[in-house]
Amino acid sequence: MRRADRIAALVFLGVCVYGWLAARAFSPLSALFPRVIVVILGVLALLLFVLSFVNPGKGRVFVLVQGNALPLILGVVMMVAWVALIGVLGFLVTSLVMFSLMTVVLERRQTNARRILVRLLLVCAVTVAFYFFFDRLLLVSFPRGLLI
Amino acid sequence: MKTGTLTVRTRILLGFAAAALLLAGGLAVAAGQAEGGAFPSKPITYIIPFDPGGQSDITAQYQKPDLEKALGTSVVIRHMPGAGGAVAWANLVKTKPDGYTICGNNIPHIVVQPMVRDNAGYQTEQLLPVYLFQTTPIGLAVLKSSPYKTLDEFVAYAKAHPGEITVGGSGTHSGHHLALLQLQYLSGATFTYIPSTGAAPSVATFLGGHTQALFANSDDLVGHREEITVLAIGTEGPFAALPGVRTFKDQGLDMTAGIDRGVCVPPDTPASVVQALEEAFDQVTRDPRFVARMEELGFVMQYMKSAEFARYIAAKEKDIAEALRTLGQIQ
Amino acid sequence: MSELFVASLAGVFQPTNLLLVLVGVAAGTLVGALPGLTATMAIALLVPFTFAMQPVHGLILMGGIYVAAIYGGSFSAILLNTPGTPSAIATTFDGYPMARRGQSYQAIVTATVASVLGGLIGVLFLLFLSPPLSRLSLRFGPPEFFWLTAFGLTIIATLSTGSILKGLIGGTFGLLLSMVGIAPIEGSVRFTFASVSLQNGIALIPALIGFFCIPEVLGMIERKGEHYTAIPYRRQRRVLWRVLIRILRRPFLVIRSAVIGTIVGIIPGAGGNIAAMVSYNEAVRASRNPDTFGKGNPDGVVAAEAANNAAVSGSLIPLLTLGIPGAPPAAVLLGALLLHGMRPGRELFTYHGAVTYTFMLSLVLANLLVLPVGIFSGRWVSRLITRLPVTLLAPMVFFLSVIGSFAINRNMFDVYVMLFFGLIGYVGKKMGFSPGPIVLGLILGSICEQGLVQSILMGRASGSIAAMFFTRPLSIVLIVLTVVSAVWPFAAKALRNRREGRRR
Repeated sequence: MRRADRIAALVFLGVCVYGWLAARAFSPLSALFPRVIVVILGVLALLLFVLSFVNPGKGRVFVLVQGNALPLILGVVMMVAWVALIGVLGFLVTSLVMFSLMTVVLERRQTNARRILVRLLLVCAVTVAFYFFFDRLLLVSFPRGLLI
Repeated sequence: MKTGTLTVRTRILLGFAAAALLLAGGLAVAAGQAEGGAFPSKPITYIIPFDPGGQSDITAQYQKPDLEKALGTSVVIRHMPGAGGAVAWANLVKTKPDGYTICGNNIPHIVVQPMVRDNAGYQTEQLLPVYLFQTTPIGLAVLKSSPYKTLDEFVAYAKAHPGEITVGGSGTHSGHHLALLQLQYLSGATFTYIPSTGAAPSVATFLGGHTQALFANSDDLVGHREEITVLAIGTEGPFAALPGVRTFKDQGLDMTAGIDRGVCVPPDTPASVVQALEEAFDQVTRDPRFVARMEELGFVMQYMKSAEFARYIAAKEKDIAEALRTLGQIQ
Repeated sequence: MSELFVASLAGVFQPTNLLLVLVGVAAGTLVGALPGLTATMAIALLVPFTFAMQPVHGLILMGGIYVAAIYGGSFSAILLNTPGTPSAIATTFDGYPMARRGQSYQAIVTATVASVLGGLIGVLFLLFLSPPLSRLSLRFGPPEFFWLTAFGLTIIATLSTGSILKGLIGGTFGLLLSMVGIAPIEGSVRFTFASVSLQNGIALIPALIGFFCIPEVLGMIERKGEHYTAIPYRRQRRVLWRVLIRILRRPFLVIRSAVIGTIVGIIPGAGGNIAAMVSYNEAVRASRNPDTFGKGNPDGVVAAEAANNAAVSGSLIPLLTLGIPGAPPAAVLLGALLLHGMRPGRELFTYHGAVTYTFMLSLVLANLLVLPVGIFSGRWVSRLITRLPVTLLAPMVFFLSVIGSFAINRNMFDVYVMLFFGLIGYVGKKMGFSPGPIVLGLILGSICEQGLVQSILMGRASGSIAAMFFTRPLSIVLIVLTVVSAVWPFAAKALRNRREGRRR
């Protein structure tokens, strides 16, 4: 955990530096609170940094991913793709495609075609149901890309 | 990934995706064909740049039924609060100028924001004004328990003790703030402005005695008239909802203070569409029942159509720019 | 007043009104359970419809939705670690661990009973103590708001699962995040990276969904190899009975939580979210086993849910008496009242007294109806969610997250915000930074800053800034509370160590 703590501390210190520099452009009363908080955060981050050297045995081991990282990476990639594609393909289509994709790709057990088809039909039903609930009933009007 | 089942899976998935795309494509085409025809032929979205429950919202709710009758189509009210209205206006200038999205606009907000912010997301001229239907006068009030009974007493004390009197209001560079700046400029007195984010918090802070005076909208003043003394009101002439309260002008200070509300559309909206909208709003605003309800709530009616409204905004822009420059708020 | 009371009592039981309460509670529970849909939104949607109704019907319907939506947030909080409404943030702290242990139904029932009891106590305050409480709400000025947020921030110690230092860093980071956008005083545009969308600041709900939900979804995917379903389910008999006995055996927990909820509710700008967290903090402090909190102690759920439902009534007190909403949903109700020409104040309780009292009594009914509606829907929702395999549940929750983040302001930018904080939150969690303190900082930041800067301005005007902060009676009370709350975790630990040392 020590290295992770150090990295975190440095990241926060970086944020503080950015915050302090950005605050120069604010008017006095608008800069007050940011300055105060940035100083506090800086002190705390420094403390974290220092303590990471002092207490070696304490704390858990830092593990970003337990076990096989592939599903997780795929999951993240698909999430980002999902959000990015909404503007391109339209909300409903993107959701249908990505939802199905995620369900199928994440499945690692042995399954036959019939089960997958049932799963996809369920996905379809849920997606369309929520879409209509929000779009028609709650009048949310989702973004449309090339399609809906 | 497994091999045998993968092929089956992939096949099903691809077929499914294709079906989804076809379906959606079909729906999109069908939806597209529903448009066309005389304006308006589908529902109109009326965007309110502020939170539900506020003045803009209440007025829009009152307008809605009459508006739907006048336009012959349904009107959907949507709230898009944020950044003092700038979120909605920045969004509007990117919206299709087909008249199916209209948005409330407020003066001085749409004038001041592009002036004082580096990037407000829109320019004042981009918001095409359609109709101005109301003004909420702004007035200056103190609690009944306050030692000041008239505007003169109030200003006199402030001149003798600069900065000591705290005056509340809603927002920075808002109608309330501008009113205070004008008061300071014209009277020579100095106050300390305590802005709140919104009218309700500023009223609450004032009623609790934490600020000594308040610039507030007329309906708040009317609503709490039992507990307060209104020192002055920012209308041109006497204000019916607050009888006995003198205007700023009447008491020697040449200023008016108020928030004007109207509707606008994205830039480059066709003139015929604008005309249809302004006619509809004119009809709604002149309805006697509507007028009665609005005046009961403390609003002052306005009946400005698009061209006159645009001229009004341009004039206000000049005045405000001059005022802000003189008061050192902008270059 | 008593004839009015009796007449309203009779009025509340009219079939139309009863039906409206039921519809309101059902709809409200659904709205609350879906992350991204809030009570405010649901009530705002209804306002144009209530235009055509009689005022009393509209108010009853909206009141039912308000009560139930605040309750409904506990569903997704418990099952998915995602507060369905900000008021349910504190419910996730022990509700989700309970679900992870297979006790999701028990958690939901606990939340239901607590909400009902807390809500009823809150309505009692509304009915009988409105005038003095609304006067109390006015006493809160800028210095008091500042100290209130200072007190709120001391809760971080309780909320940080693990290192308190990391909790403090998270909280401070949350405060920093709250500053993105246009400054409340003097209006400088801050930290927006030249993006117009950021000028509005970081919307709370997308950030909530990002910090609380996405890491869990990723966690589900990560742990996928171990279990088929994401959330286990352990059957238990006679859950409702057991929960009732447990809660009623120690009534002080519910009562204290409800009182805290009502009082925080009357403070304009502080609603169920802060109320639940403060109440949770107090429950931890008062408990004999504070270490069991955050790991699935039902008392945590009780404290949170009783408080947030009591805060509903709390927010209505200054609304009805002064026209000052205590929380955002109350602000929408204000608009609805004004639309019908009903001005808050004395007039509301005399001229419009019949409507007002019927409305308040309908809140009693609404809270009572939460019990059957909650138990019934809770049973099948928890069974449904716990039966779903991860491969279906994870994408579905993400789908709901996208919809929920979008639905707030109909802005895709919020969805990006949600995903961004989701990924950061996942990494942060792994590094030991829990989401609770960050979100607390985000919520309290703007209130804290306004209180601070406004007080400084007031202090400058009156000649002494120090006097403004430290000499006002209500401020002093809050300062004492803050100091006690800040020192408590360390003092209690020292006391316990000493006690254990003596035992050995």
